Amino acid sequence: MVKTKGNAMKFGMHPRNVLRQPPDYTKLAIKYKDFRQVCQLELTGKVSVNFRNEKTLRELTKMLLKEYFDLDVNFAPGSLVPTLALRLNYILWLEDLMEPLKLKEIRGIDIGCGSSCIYSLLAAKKNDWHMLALESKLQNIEYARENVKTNQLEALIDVYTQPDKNSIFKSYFLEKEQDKNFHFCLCNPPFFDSNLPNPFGGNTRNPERRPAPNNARTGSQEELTCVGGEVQFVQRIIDESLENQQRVRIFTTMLGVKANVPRILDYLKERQVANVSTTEFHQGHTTRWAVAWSYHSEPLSQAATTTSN
Amino acid sequence: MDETNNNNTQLVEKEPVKCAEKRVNTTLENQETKRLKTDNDHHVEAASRPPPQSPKKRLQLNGKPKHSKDLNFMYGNYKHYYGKRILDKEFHDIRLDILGSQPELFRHKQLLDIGCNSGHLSIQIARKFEVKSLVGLDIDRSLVKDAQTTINQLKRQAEPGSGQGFPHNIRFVQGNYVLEDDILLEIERPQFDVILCLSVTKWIHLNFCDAGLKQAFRRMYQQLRPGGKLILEPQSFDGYKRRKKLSEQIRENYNSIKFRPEEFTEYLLSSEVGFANMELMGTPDHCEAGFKRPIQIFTKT
Repeated sequence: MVKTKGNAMKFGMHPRNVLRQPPDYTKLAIKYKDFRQVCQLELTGKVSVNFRNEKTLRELTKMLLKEYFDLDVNFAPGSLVPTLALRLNYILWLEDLMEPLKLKEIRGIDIGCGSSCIYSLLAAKKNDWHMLALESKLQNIEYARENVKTNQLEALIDVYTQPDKNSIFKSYFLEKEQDKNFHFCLCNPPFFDSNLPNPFGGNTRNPERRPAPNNARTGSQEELTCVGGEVQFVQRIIDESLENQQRVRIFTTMLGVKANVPRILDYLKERQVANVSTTEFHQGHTTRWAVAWSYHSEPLSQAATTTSN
Repeated sequence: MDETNNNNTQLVEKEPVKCAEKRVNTTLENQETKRLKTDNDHHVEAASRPPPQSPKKRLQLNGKPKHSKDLNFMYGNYKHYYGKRILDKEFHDIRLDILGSQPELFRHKQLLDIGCNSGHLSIQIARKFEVKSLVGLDIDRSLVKDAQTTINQLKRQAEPGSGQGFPHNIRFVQGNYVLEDDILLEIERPQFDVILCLSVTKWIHLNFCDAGLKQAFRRMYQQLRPGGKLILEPQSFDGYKRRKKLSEQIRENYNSIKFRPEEFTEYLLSSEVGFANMELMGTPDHCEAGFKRPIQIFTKT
């Protein structure tokens, strides 16, 4: 769907997304030295950013996190560089989901926080949410802990080492206090299936109308792929959620491929999970999807679909 | 990425006023175009006075400040600077003779023309001297549009086999050569063999002061490749004075100027910029005294 001015409300970023207005990169290049070095100066005096370069993306995200959230973040070399617009869209959707619950203190789980720990950092810094950040890759854990420390958010963020890549909540819930419950979980699963001969091969039937994303791809094999791809990963989250229905009020996950959304919805339906809703995240040329489900009677549908992210 | 004009200087873009005020402009324009060898009979837009009861006259009686007659050209961005006969084969700016004394400077080279106005001279240079490419930059969007229109017309008229050569190797861009901040010079890169800066320094100076002009000189150096040349035709300081009426800001700027045109050469050759040497290319003589400006070549090693 081509985004035009007319349908920006429906197909643009979340209304509260601070990146809804494109940043003034020229002014930001003047302000931030590291970012400046990866920019190009046009004849017109404006600065332009080449999103197809990994180093540029890294400096861009670092700069935006600093400029808009006063967060100092480092990424492990070779690890996934998150795009801020999308991460913000997800957090804002969660804010909308939390709003009707009228909670004083909000606790969430970040499944697979990565080296940046970006969701937890944003959630804690922006909203004072308490976050449990789960991560299995050692190098990522080190960087994540360092990022939490640098930004003085140790009181709000707990980075937990997942001993087992195949379990989601299991290890934590078994080990930790039984009475501490969470209000939401979020997840950016590995989109691609390592079992396939061509894991990154897109499935679009219409390459002209669906151009490739503007960004260079970043991230290690582990972060981007897993056995069975996002479908199996999310199915595992669903399975574990069934076993821990009362521990988390609203389960959510992102999905990278549109065709996988109905597959996940079917999986939930088969398990008689009734309270389910979906949403979309729009940023630039990229659209992502998210699914939320709950074993409580939380008003998911209203919050999620009316905001029409 | 969407075009967001992050760095656009706000311009007053209006058609020249057709009324008694136009007489002043006409005279000025006549002076500017005195460089043209051909007879100028094109400023025939009669200075038509509005009848005394015109709405415009009534507005003025309301006590609103009279619109500064020259505000439209505060960047020297005169309309019809080169005359109206655009695609005229007879167009011959006298400076072409001076530039033509060293044609090898331009042949097969990549040029930038700063302050190209409607592009007439740029186009002649590109054509006459067989440049590899030419980019013309001007702060005035409508002048850039005129220039691009001219090029588009030439492209339509061009032979199909002209390939990448003239006029396909010319483009015009709107922008302010002076950057928002000196620090952006850090990421400027060499990209031109020759930069032309003809009768522009006065306007940069009056609008952006010493700091702006010095930055522009430094930017020119950064944009040149090793061995590249800056061809500079600076206006002398006595020509600045009558422009200080253009606006309050320009008057202030004029009063703040300490860096005089006589010091330009020294500055360009100093370590702050870094040109290796200066050569006098020539000074036009068969023209109005006001336009007898020396043309200099600065070389970057």
